[in-house]
Amino acid sequence: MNKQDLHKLSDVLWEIPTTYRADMRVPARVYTTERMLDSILGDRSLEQLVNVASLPGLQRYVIAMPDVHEGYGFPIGGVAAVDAKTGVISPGGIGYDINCGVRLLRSGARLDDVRPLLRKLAHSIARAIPSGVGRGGPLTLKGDDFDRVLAGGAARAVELGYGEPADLQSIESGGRLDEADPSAVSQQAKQRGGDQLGTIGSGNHFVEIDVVEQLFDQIYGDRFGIAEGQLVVQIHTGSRGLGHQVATDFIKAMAKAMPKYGIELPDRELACAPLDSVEGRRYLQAMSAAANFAWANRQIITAGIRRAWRHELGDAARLDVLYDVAHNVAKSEEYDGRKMVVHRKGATRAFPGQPVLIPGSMGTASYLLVGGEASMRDTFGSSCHGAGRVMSRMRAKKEIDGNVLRARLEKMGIIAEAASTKGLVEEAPEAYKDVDEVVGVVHRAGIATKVARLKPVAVVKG
Amino acid sequence: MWEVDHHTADVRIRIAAAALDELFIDAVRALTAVMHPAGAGAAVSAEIELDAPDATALLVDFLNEVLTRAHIERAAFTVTRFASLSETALRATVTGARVETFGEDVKSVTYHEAAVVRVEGEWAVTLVLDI
Repeated sequence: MNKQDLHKLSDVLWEIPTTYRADMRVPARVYTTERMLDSILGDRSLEQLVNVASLPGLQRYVIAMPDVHEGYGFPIGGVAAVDAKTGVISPGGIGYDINCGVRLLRSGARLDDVRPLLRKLAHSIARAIPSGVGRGGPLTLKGDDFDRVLAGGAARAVELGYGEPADLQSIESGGRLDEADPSAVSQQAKQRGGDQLGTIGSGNHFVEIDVVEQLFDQIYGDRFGIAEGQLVVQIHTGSRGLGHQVATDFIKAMAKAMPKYGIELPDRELACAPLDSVEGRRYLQAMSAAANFAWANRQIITAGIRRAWRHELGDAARLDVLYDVAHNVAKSEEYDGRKMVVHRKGATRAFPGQPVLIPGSMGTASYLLVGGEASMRDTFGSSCHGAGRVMSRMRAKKEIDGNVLRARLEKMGIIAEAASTKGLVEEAPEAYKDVDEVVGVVHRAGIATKVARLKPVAVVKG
Repeated sequence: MWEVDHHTADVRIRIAAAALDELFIDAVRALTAVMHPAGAGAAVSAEIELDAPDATALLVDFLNEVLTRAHIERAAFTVTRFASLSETALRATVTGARVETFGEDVKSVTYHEAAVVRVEGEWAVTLVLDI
């Protein structure tokens, strides 16, 4: 594919028409600047988007956000909405890390007041939250106790003493999807996730202390309770091994089932089943259970961070949930007067007035935005989710020196607590797209508009 | 024989072997190597029985089964023995040892770019692991 295959609809929106390939049922839209499009065309993400456009039951068009990059089946940074009755559901359209997402906590502390304590704060958080691979969490559950978490999500974590009921009002879908059925989750998935509640894992997952560097929107700043100089905390993690196994189980099951539904697709990772089928319904139930696990996970991690925060700053020090969003999930929503299921893979819900959390790479910046009216009109209520990778982990490990990176971060005023230097190097800023540019696109499109820019001051990584 | 290669977000491994069983055996070793197991404990084994529409799906499903057992048992599997193996079905025993941790959290072995091929008598496959 090259640029000539796309029609420019605006300075930030391009479209691949259905004439590009015979099996496309709907067009494919890409939110990007022309400059970024040149880079996007460097991998296969847009060919993958064209593959997605061949799924049955699609509505209007499929969408790539400006942070799009090559994934499995669906590109990462993709949105596809299907009719809830006639459409299909595809686990590749949610991803292996079901309900990987971001939670933002706001504190009552200002950076200037706690700067001397930052290193101790980061260290306390690192000790409170298990990170890395193979490290179990504070809560190991089995049997019915485990199933209650899969059914109850963040609310169940609150019942178990992790956090406050008020937290639930600031989580997407209240931290629980009703469609969850724990019996749809395999025993192997439950075993993989059994000791992982309260852990962040590895890779690009992290806990990060940020300072609100710049406020763009005073009205929403006041509404969200944030101001320049204030400290906030981001949590980025998902459903851990449980979600990974659910995805693996159902991609395999649906690949086997597709012939009986007469579905043929250009990519096995797009394996899907009709929503109105046994496989489709069971996946939705299992995916919802895994999503609930992830929300419970972020709730338990929040409790650990709050303990560390109070340990260093005093018992009166508060951390409140500003918001929590999923960026790998399928949601039942309504558009055009029609019930749909929206696949968001590396994409964030962005309903008008809703906080939208966009983590950047370590060492650059993250953003707090607010959902705009254009999201409901143009993107099935969706926005981008982050910066998007441009450099492989292997190349990052080869080209970036861990000690040099640590020194660079320290010079930038960023304390890094990492379970491994490898984990730090793989997430170096140069491995990611420019988050300012990515966010600039969704801001210009009116999908989600900037409220604040957050600058990291301490990072805890697996 | 296998080698590990670049992939933007994850890990790509290329495996080549003179026979189908050797391809599967080396694939298990390659997967375990990518997981970077640390610490050695008691011996552990697992029986795996699978069928699939073709050799590519069989290999991916087999490796995912090995991966699942590795995570659940916290074990590194390095030896594979087949009671039977065809392009669409297998019965195998994988053997290894318990470990303390893994240096890499492999989420899944994907079907992305996967295609078991036979060229001039040599079996080969490229696999992308989601990490």
